[in-house]
Amino acid sequence: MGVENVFITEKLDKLISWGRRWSFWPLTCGLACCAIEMMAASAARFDFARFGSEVFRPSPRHADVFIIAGTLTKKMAPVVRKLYDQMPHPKWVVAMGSCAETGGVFDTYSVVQGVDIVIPVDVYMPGCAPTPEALQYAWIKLQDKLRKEGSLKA
Amino acid sequence: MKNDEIVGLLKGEFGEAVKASAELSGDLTVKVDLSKLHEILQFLRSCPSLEFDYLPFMTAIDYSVYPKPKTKEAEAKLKEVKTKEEKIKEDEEKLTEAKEEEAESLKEEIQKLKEEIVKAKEEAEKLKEEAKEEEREKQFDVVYQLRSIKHSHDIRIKAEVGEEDIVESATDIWSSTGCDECEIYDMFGIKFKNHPDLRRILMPEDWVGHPYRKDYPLKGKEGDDEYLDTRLPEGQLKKPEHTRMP
Repeated sequence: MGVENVFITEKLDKLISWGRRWSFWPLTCGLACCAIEMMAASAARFDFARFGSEVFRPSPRHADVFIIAGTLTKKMAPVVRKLYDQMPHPKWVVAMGSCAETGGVFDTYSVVQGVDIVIPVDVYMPGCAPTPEALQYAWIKLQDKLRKEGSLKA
Repeated sequence: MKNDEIVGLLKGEFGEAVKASAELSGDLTVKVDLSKLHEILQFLRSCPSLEFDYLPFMTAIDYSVYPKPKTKEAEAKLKEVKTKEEKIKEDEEKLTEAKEEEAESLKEEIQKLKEEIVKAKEEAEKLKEEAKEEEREKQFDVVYQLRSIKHSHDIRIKAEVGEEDIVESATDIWSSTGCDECEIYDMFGIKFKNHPDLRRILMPEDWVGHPYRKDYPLKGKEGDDEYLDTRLPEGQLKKPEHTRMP
């Protein structure tokens, strides 16, 4: 009954999207030095709680945002892919720092040249390492994406 | 204990197995024979007047593209001789057509050049003999840096190792060499016997090749990209186009 009603689905879509974008639960997973900035972002000075994202989940089953914070090596790549696969839908990925984006300065035999080779990425974040403010800017960009997409696409 | 005393003690105990020793700004380096390496390390650990009870690190060095300055210098000298000989030939050709006044000056020049050639050849031969020290039979060195906390002295032990040689593990003397030996095995491919758990420590266990060898390309071999292909779910790997150099 309600589903056919355009007014209700439209409003419900907006409500769900609003709820999602103000309660991201990131996965506790730091690969390299960017993780330090990620921790700083969630601590008192920068305070991720303002975005509803202070709950870093230790289990991928509870998380819906995956911050790839650091260099992804080939040895680690299958593990990251497994973690991503274990996360329930809807889920988003933020590639934090130059190494996660393109491999950065590590154009070598052991480093994956960009995490988008392994998993799909929503927000790319340059910097080496990006400041906590940059991570929060990426968060705002991710929220913008959700606002435009609505809840039905994810 | 002073450095020369340590060397004297080692030479008295092991004789010819202690091949050479060098000192640079107080750091003592001793080169030993691989077959006696384990005995020497055991002696350094247990001898009461040495008692090296702490091993800060252990590593290996690949000398396959190590610069050889004296060999290069000798080659440069021989090249100089060749250019001078060519000049003499040119001068002699000119001499046949030259007038009397010019001929004399040319003759003098040729004489000078000939003397220079003789000198340069002598120098080159000397350098060649000195350069023999730079030649190595084996590709790698294993390096043990030791320290005695009790007596506060240091020593560095080196031994030449080839690709097929098997080094006796020092885990029974210093247990901290366990991880170092794993890393050397991983990155250089040097094998150790009597090691409790010798396997790759940094690279994936089924990786092919040893990355710290000088002939290993920095950006990886051609087959390396396939490593991810085989381990990720089928159809989910995006082929990297922007990554590898041509």
